Amino acid sequence: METFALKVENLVVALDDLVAVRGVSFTIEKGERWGLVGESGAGKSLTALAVMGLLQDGWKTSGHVWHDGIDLLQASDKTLSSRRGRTMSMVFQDPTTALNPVAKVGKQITWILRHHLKVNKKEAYEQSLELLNKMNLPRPESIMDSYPHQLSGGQRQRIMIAMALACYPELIIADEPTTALDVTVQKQVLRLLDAAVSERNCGLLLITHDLPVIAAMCENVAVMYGGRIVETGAISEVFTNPRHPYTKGLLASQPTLDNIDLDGGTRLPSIRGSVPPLHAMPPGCAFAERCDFATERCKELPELDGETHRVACWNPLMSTAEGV
Amino acid sequence: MDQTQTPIIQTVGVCQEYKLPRTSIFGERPILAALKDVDFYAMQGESVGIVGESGAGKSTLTRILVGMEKPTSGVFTFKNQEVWSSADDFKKEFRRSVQMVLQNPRSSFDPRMTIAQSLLQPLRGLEIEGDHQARINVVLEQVGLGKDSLKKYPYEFSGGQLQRVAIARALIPDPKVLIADEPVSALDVSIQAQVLNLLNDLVKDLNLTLILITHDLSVVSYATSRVAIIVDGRIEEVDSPKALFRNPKSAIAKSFVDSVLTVGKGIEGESLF
Repeated sequence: METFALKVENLVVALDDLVAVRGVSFTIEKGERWGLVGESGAGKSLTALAVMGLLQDGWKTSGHVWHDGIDLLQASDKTLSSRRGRTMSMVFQDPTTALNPVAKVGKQITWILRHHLKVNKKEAYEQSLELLNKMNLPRPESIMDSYPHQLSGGQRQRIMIAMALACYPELIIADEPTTALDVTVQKQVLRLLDAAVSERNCGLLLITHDLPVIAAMCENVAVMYGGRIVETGAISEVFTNPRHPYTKGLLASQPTLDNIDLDGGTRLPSIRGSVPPLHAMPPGCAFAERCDFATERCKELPELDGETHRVACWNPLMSTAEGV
Repeated sequence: MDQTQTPIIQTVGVCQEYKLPRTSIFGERPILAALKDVDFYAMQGESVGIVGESGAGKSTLTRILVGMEKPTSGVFTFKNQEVWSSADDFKKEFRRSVQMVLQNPRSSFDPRMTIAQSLLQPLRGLEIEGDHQARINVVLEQVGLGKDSLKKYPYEFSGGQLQRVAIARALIPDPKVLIADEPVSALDVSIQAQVLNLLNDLVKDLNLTLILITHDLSVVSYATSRVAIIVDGRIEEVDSPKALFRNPKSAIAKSFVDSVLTVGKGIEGESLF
């Protein structure tokens, strides 16, 4: 039996001649937390949707996505439906639009259990209550009996996580799970997600543009830019010792409580320019235009290079670690 | 507060109440108190942050500060003069002097107007005399945009560039107070720093008062010298970011400070690397 929860090989996602994801490969082991960082337009959400088989009509994919013994890109709708929600599940960014507004919360959770696990009504109800209990939701009985609009954003997102966990999936994809939430609620939701992954030993693909969230949650990270992974490796290496100029720029441009004086007088280092639009993506390194280290060679496409800490750059920044 | 100076914009004991829909035929309409006895001020040239969760009353306070809503009770003054009871001339000056930058630049421009047309609106609406074209050119340069942007439509800009245009539009009437409501939260991470730096530079160069509303404590501590934490319609704590982070007094301020995640810290605040 395979040890990985998800293995993506050379995934390409395109709409006609617009190529949004340009060859992405990574493997998530069971029990591993994997972070995908990037800005809007980097292709991170499309990667997730391609894995789940939820791309809109017109989007074409190529490559392989291995999960639960099958290639999801080749699978029929019926096979995909039997996996979605059972062996792999997704937590969306905005719980307000992801929940069904005309069905009570309890019904929505029990639907999943009854559909995939074929349990009877009573068992499904009991299991749902237990799930909500685990999510630290107060008075789970009354929450089961409420409509989504009656609950707060944090409560709704916890229900989304409960639904994602319902069938003990091997893989959870969380696409910006805390972006729509208040900061004080963010930590509670992350803590729950963290505990759920540890307890069930499933793989987690956490997608966000929020670097601190990735740093706190994941063991490994991939930084995406212009539809490609530009740097990947262990969090402790990539974030402390970034080798791609883009990763370094991203990390430096974050206002954190450590790099500012707290008197309103500091200037943040910023990356100049903006992300090239899809139709004008350069054939070489997509970041070259904004990069201070760009040379002639950057007109060719760099491939990911290295062993554990891999970077796709012709002029990677020198590692500050000793001996490397 | 500095005793020798009076604040440029100030609220004293401001309450704002909204009537909710009736719940029974004969009963009174229930009342939602969105702001409760809020004292807030900003001096000329000062940057003040307002931080709070959604529903805390940030937006209500903003609407009062720009004069879009009349408070139920309390006093709202601009340049030491009560705004709502003032003469029309003063109201006009107030409208001109307090300008706003909104969260999402995509939805704050008319998609059918070129940037030149959009930038002319405040000059016409506020009946400002003088060479409009010259004024537009000056402001465009201040926000770092070329004259070629004038002929473009909003869709031709990236989010960060369009937010620059939005800042330009706010600066056109030569305001004294700039109110920015989550100006970077809809922007990409690598663009946020550009826009924050621009706001900081403008405040210094033009001696503007900046009121920055956000839920992101690190943004506020970067751009402002005083932060007010608003919870449930009340201002709970006002302090410099430094004092707030090192030594939060109220429990709610502490929970805010604790909720800030930084690269290299785990969820419980433990050091990772």
